[in-house]
Amino acid sequence: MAKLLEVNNLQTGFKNSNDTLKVVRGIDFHLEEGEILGIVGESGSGKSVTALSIMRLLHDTPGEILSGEVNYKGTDLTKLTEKQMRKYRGKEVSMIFQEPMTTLNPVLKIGRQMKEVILLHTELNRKQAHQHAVETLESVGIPRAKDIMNEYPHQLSGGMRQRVVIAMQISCNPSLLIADEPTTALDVTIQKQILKLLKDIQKKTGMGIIFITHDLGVVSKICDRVNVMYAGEIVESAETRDLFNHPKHPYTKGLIESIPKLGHNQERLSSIPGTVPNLNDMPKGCTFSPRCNFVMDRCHAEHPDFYETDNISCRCFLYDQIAEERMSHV
Amino acid sequence: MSNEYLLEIKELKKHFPIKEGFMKEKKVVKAVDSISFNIKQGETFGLVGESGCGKSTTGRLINGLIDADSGEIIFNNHQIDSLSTKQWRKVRKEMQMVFQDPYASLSPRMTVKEILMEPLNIHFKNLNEKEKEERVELLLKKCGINPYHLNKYAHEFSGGQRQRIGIARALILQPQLIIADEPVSALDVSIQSQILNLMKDLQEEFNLTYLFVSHDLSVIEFISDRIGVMYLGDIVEISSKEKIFNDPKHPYTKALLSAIPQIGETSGEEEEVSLQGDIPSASNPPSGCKFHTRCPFAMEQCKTIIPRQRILNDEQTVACHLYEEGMINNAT
Repeated sequence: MAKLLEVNNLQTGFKNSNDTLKVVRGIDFHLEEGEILGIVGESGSGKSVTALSIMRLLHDTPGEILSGEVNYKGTDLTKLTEKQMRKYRGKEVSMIFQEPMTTLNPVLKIGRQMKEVILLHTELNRKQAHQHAVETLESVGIPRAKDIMNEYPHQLSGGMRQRVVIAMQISCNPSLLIADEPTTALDVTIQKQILKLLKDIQKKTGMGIIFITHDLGVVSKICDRVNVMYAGEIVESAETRDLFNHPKHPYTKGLIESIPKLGHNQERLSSIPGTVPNLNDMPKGCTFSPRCNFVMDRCHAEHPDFYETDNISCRCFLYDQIAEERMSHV
Repeated sequence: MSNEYLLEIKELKKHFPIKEGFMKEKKVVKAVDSISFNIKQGETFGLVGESGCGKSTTGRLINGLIDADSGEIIFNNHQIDSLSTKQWRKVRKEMQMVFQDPYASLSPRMTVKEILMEPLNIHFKNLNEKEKEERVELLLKKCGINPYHLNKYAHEFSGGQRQRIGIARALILQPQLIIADEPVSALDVSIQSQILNLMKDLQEEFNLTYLFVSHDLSVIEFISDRIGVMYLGDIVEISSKEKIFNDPKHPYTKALLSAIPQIGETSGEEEEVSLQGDIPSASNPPSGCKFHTRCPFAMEQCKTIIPRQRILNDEQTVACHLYEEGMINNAT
C-alpha cells in the first residue's frame, strides 16, 4: 500500500511573552491509503495540536509549526501558502471535530452549508450540488435528508449533527479524514452508530482516517494501527491487536490497566501515580520517568529512542536492555 | 435501627415546564417520572443512563437542590421532601454532594482552607479554631492532598487534585450519604482510577453510603453494589453488580452494555443488541413503554401499556413487558 501521509519530526509550539512552549515535540508517523490510524493520549498530550498542525489550522491560536514535514501525497503541506492550503482543506484533507457545533454555523440552514463546500471544490452547478448534498446526507444515514437541508443545526440532536458534519466533510471525496474525538460528546449507543458509520464510509471510499481519541476502547473497535502519545511525543506505535495484547510502554500498560473493565469484579483499579508534566517544566530524560514504576537511573538522564520488540516500536529503555541482554547471550 | 435503608425514594416525580409562546399549549420536560428505589446503609447505589435520562435531576432532588413535584424521600426514617430551608440545613450536614466539574464547583476566590473551614464554621460551632484546622488537615491528607497546599487557590491545582478537594469538602461534616454526580467524567482515565480508588477507601474508612451517578457503565459497575438503569425519566432495571453484567434483563441494559467499546474485543461483523435511532425527547416521550421506539423486542402492548416494576428475584427488578406473567419464556 502507498503512503498517503508522512509526518517527519513535526514540532509545534505555542508562543508566550518570553519563550515557546513545545506542545508537539518531534513526532514521526505515516498513514497508508485506506488505513485507520488511531492517535490516543490523555488531555494535554498534543494529539489535537498534531491534527491542527496537519490541517494548518493554527493561525487562530498562538501556535505555530516550528519544524518538520507533513508530506501528503508527496506535497509538504507545511510549505504551502494559505491560499494553496485552502484547495486542500475539504477537498483532499477534511476534519471532524469533537463538538459538531464548532463546525456548523448556527444561523445558516444545513443545505446552504453543505452546498458551500461542494460548490467551492467541485465543478457542479447549484442544482447538481443540491442533489449531491441530499445524496451525501442520505449516505450517512440521515432520514428525511431533503427536509433537513432546510433546517438549522439546533433543530437536530447531537448524533444527527455529527452525521451532518461527517456528510459535509466527505462530500468532496477527500483521501484523508482527520476525526478529532468525533464521538466523545455523544452517548454510547449513538457513539456505536457513528463508529460503525465511519468504518462503513472508510470501506466504501477507501479513504485514510486519522482517529484521535482518549478512549482506548474506541481505538480497539475502529483502528488498524495506533500511536500512543504522551507529553507531546509518540511513546508507542503498533498494530491495534499487538498493542492491546502485549502493550510494551509502562504508560500504555498503566493506561490500559486503569480502565475499569466490565464483568471483572475488580476490587481496586491500578492507576498511574502523579499527573502529566507541565509544559514549561518537562522532566529531563524520559518524560514519563517521574510516574514510571520501572524507572532506572538512565531514564532520568537520557532521552529514550524507539526500540523494536514483537512488532511494537516503543520509546523506552526497558526494551533496549532486553536487546542488550540478547546481544550478550549470543 | 428499625430500618435497613438509609434512603427510600417513593414515586419521585419532577416535570420542568417549558416556556412557550402566547396561546400555546403548556409543555413539560418529564425529567424524572415517578421513580422508586432504596439505598441501604453503607452501600453504593449507582444510577446509570444516557444524557437527559434524569439521573442528575434525581441526585439534585434528593439533596433538595430542586423541589420534587410529588413523591416521598425518606432519609434516616424522616421524610425530607417537604422541609423548610432551615430544617434542610440540618439534613444537609448528613448528606453532601460531589459535582462533576471540579473547575466550576470550587470557588475561585477561596483558598483550600477557607473552602473546607466554611462548613465547619456553620455546623460545628462548638469546635475551636485549632480543632477545626486539625480536622481539615487530617481529612486533606486522607484525600491525598498535602496540607502544605492549604493556602492555595483552586486554580493552582490540577483537575484530579481539585476533585480530591471537592471530595474533602463533602466529607468534612462527616455525612452519612454522599451524592456523587459524575465525579470522574471530567478526568483522564489515569486520574479517574485514582479518584475511584480513593472513594472506595474513604467509604470503608468512614462507613459512607454513596449514590453514584454516571453515564459510564464500566465505572458504575466498578464502584457500585447495586445499580439502577435509567431511561427517559424511568428506572427500567435495578440489579446487583454481579447480575447486571452476567444476566442483564431489560433490552436497554443489554444495548447499553454492548455499546461500550471494550479493549481487546475485535469488533465482530455480527452485532449484538444494537440500537437504532436517537433518544426521544423528554418533552414528548413515547407512549406506553418509553423505550419501545428503539427496542428490538417491542410488541404491540409496549406501545400503549406502561410496564410496571416487576421483582424477578432478590437481586433484580425490571420494568419490561417481556417479563410479565406468561411472557418469561419468550424473553429467554
